[in-house]
Amino acid sequence: MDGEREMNNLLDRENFRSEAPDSLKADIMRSVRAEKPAREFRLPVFHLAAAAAVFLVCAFVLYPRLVGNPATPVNGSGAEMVRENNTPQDNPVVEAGGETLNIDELKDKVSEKFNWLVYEGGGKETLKQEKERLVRFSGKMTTGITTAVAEVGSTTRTLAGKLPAPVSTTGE
Amino acid sequence: MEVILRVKSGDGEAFSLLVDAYADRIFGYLNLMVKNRSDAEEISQEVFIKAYRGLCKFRADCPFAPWLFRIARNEAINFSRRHKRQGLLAADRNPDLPPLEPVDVSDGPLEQMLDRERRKEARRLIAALDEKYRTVLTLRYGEGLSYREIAGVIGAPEGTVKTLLHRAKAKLRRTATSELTVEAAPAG
Repeated sequence: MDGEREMNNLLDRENFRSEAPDSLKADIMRSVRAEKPAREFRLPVFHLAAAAAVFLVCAFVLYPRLVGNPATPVNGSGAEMVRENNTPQDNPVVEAGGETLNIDELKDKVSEKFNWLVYEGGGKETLKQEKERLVRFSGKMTTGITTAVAEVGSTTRTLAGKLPAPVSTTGE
Repeated sequence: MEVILRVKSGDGEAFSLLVDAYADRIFGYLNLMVKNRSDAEEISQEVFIKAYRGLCKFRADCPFAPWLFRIARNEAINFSRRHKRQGLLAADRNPDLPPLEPVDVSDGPLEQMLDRERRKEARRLIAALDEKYRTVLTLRYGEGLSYREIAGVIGAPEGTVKTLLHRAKAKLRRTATSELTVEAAPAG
């Protein structure tokens, strides 16, 4: 019983506590005032959105206008060079082998070539190789090539189903 | 809780309310840990500055005291390590226990003196325990934290906290008993 009471005395709350000097609280607050405000961290949604908007404008408007004017061969001869002017993206005007074409006409020309290749049995592989060849020839990927090849690819894939056996083996 | 939200929203002066509420408690804990009032004062200041800096990451739905005591414990351990490296072991330091608060004046002078002596002795015995025992005893009996909250402070499971408390009390009892026996033994 005495041991229990002794233990209770030892573990009395007051035995663990002591009053801090008055200067401590003042010193702490002085140091805290010298600190930057402890503002809650918030995800900078506005900044991220603004950065994304700037990126999109640069990627889809400014960059193609500034960079998208490479030389592009169309009919596979390698002699004809195509130059896109800095015109709106929806239907840019291009110069191909001395004649001025819009993007639809360019696609027709590429399409003629690809249709022939597809008919020969190349299918998707041929399209890919032709794209690489065009890129290699012009030195870089251009908006014109990408657009033309993508749209022609779509057309030829549709067409492929209607073509004779060699084409259908491509899986297109 | 509201105070914490005010500080988090940038009201630095609201932090003084937290300092008022916790300065004595943190200082008392650190004083038992480092056994020196001026060191405890210095570390207390560090603890509150770290708390202020870290408050932006503190989740307002969590209890504040265990979080603050965790910072205090880490700071006390870092302080002890630094002193160990400098060759001044915590155990070698003279316990610099605080002046005791005045007891109830309704007691007579003799009771006051005895009570004062008893508390001084109790603090000396507690201060002589290992750091982990001192920590769990202080947090449990001095601060009234739950097992779970103490577990959060020391970063151990609740079961470990219970074991540490049991061992701490046993050790305290043994030390107190052996000292009483020595005192009671006839000199020479």
